[in-house]
Amino acid sequence: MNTMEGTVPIHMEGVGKAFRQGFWMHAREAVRDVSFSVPEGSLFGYLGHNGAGKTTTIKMLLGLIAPSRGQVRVWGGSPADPVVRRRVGYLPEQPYFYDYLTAREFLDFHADLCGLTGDSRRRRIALMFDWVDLAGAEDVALNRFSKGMLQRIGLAQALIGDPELVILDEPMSGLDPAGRKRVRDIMVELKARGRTVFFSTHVLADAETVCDQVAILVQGRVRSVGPLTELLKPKVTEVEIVAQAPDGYQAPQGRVVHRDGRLHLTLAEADSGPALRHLLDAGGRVLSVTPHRETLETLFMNELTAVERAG
Amino acid sequence: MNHVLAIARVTYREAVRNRVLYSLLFFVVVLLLVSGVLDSMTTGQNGRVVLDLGLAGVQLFGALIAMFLGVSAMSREVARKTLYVVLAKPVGRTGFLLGKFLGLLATLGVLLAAMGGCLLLVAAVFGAAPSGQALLALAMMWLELGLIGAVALLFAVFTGPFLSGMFTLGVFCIGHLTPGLKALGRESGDAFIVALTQGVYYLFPNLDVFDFKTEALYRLPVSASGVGLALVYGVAYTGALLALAALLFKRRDFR
Repeated sequence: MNTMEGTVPIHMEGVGKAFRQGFWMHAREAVRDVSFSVPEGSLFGYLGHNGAGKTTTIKMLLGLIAPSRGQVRVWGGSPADPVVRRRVGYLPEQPYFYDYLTAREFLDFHADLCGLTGDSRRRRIALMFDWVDLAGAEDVALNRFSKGMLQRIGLAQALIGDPELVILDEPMSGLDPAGRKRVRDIMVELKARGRTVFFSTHVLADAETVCDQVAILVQGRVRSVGPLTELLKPKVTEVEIVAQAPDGYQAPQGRVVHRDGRLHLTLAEADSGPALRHLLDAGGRVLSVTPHRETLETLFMNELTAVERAG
Repeated sequence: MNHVLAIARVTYREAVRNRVLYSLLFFVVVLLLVSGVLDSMTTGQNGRVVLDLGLAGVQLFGALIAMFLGVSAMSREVARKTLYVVLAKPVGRTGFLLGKFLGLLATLGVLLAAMGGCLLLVAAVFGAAPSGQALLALAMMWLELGLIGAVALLFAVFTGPFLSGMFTLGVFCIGHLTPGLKALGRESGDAFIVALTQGVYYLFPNLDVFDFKTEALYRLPVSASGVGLALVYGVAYTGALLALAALLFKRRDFR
């Protein structure tokens, strides 16, 4: 194992996965060309629409699926190796758990799988119940849990072994606003404790709120990857100028809206300088200049449109 | 090893909470009661009919339970995707499979003890006192059921529950016919048929080696070599089945 590679939680290079399906066993590529690295301690969002290949990628990161080509490395090793998975926690998109077990039996079982023993194990289980707000539900069978409770006990099993890398597949899917906030808070807490969090979502607002890095997956290919600030910062799409303009003022360019006695002028960044000068020369008073940067949503939609046009 | 035992415990817990199991056990109790009635209608048998029908019934229902549990232990995991979070933990696939098998073996042991206990009790009521041979017959049955469970697990690793059940049932039937098939092939004198029946004999398990019902019924002396052979054969065959299942399981993608 390369020393540097060993400190990278996730590294994927040229990864593809084709599944054989149908009577004639035709190959269908779920993931075509996935390359990215997740830095240690980051909160990394893996974004893509439904069917883009997010879950397939995650299953390759856990050794549940072998890649058809390319290299998947988790903490510098193969995810098929149980020793590597000792440092990984995983929450699936749907809560596929042994629902005949009580919450305590369920966490006991997962503590066993992680090799926890003795007092530390008891403490860890109690801590997990507190952390995911399920204290008091320890002896309730999972088949009586609501979707939100299942998601939280799922998080508890993912975190029971105190993993350094937490992989969450659509962790906020199907949750109410309070549940979504709790999951977001837990992800932020994990990052604050130095853990690396990798989560997939198709809800871009979730990613924009908490992520520091993202990868955008479109039709099985990673289109953009990097820190959110770098991906979005340079791309100021428009500038909005709010001003008190003299009566009858005609702006030379841009979209003009009059609201509450004020002029709202929206135009391209390159045109904003001349427009401001024109406004001031005409005796107007500038109240605010707001650059409108590209949102994650616009970036995502641009990537999607580019692929659709190319394809 | 801790995680293997944890998986075995969960498998056992799931099996004993399965209602289908109890309906099969109910049929065994009905069979024992019917055999008791038949025994009382037959003069001079003193519980032998109970023991005869009971041991055959326990073997048949035990085999059905082993097939059902063996197939469902793996198929349910795959269909309900419950194995994803388990295999994402530091658990090797071989360890997972071994845990499943040990849980299955423990369940079969407990069920066999329950069914065998009822059988010996009813037989004693009708005059057949429990014997060492009867206990040995039940113990050897456990070995056979374990092997059938391993066959079910092997099929369930690479195919669906219906086909796995059918294939396992086929192996169970052929497994009790192979010595007869081999003898039949020898009788035919045809080289091809001899080779074919010998191939079937060596490929499929010979489940008759675990059959000590006659000894139990007539309290015949048991040969240590026969018991030793059954023990070694059962453990080796089951081990080979599990090794093959592990090999296939390791290569499987879980979509």
